[in-house]
Amino acid sequence: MFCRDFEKIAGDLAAGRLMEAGKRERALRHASECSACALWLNAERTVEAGLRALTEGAEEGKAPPHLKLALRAAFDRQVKAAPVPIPAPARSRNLTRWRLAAAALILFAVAVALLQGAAPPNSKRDLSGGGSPAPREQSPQRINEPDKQEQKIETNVAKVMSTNRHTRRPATTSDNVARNDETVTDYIPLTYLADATAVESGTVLRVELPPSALIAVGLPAPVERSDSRVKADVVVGDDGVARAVRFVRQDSVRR
Amino acid sequence: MAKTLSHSSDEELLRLMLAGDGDAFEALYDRRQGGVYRFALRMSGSAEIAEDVTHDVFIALMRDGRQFDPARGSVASYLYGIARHRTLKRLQRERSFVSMSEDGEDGGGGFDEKLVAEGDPFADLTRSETIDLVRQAILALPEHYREVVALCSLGELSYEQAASVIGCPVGTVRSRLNRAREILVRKLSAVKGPTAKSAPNSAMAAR
Repeated sequence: MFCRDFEKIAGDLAAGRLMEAGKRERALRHASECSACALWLNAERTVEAGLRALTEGAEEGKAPPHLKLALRAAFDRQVKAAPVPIPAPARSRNLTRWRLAAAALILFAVAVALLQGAAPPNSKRDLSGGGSPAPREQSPQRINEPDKQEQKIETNVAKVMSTNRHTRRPATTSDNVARNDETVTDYIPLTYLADATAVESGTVLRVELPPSALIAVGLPAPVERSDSRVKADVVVGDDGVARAVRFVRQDSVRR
Repeated sequence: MAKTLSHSSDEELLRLMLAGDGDAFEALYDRRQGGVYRFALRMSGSAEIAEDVTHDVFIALMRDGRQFDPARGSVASYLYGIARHRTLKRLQRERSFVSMSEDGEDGGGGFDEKLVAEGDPFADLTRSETIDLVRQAILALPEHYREVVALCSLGELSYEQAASVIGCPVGTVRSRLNRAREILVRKLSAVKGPTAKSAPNSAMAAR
């Protein structure tokens, strides 16, 4: 056996691994005749024994006990300081991300739909620009048909007027309720506010105005009763600014 | 509960730990602290550094445990990876481990004569001496050889896990391990005569 052949199997020989009996015998015979290979074999055995002893060595294999106590204390402090949520298993992280994205999309769509339903673009434009301010007033056919919502507003107006008797010129409560015997115009905007500042909630006040108010908004004044007052519904925003006005004529007073 | 935790996987213990379960943290610590401590000890040769590294590893696990990605390896590999980074950083800073003189990478020269054993090494050296000699020889290895010995030969990691920790191909781990063992043997086979300082095949190649 040559030295280089011996070196190839010296590790197995030192570790006591299984090998062909004849091969083992030849290797040991070579080591007994070659001092260098004998030293090499001894070194292999030393390394093997040392590695095994280090691996098995329990005396140096553990961290000191006080380290565990210190780490546990640090862990408890951290948990108390910042309670941590239970993380999703990493395997389902991608699935969770998709679910979150889908949920966010649905929420966004619902929010947009709610916003559109709560504040139709037409109503804002109508209050700040031309045309009728309220959706219920959009159809000309409905001018003479006050619906329930309108009656509710009118009732609210009556309440407001009852609390503001000294500052406004209220009509009687019975007059404030829109009736079928009334004819009303479209709401006429009184401001040129942008949509962003258009009234989203406010109060409709029934007031009596001098006929000149009709002229001020470009409507013809009733010449037959220039000294009389005309009834009007004024939309007042929550900020107290009048946004629109419509005029009311009772059919009983038609001439 | 303790029985349940003892049968739980590392990943499950980590999940519970990150949810604030202190018992899960202790179970994971008990299971993995030995390997981490031994790796740092064999890389540094210092119990103080090994303790500090073990402490830092589990503190890092508390703080950054959510960064663990099972697709990249096991929890053990993750912990060894932190330990390796911390240990190398510490060694670079302090260089406080016991150094042995060596001639180049192979470190064939300058080894103490007591390493030369005639006949059975256990006949001449006690077990503790043998352990000490091997430990010193390992500490004298270049770091990239030392870490594969610490991870694979002395540790509990497979070649694949060690490759994950180090960030190199499995073949590189295997070749480094073979080379490291050869260096160790060469150190321990150093003899008084100059001819015996090299491997037998290089000294007497044509014999």
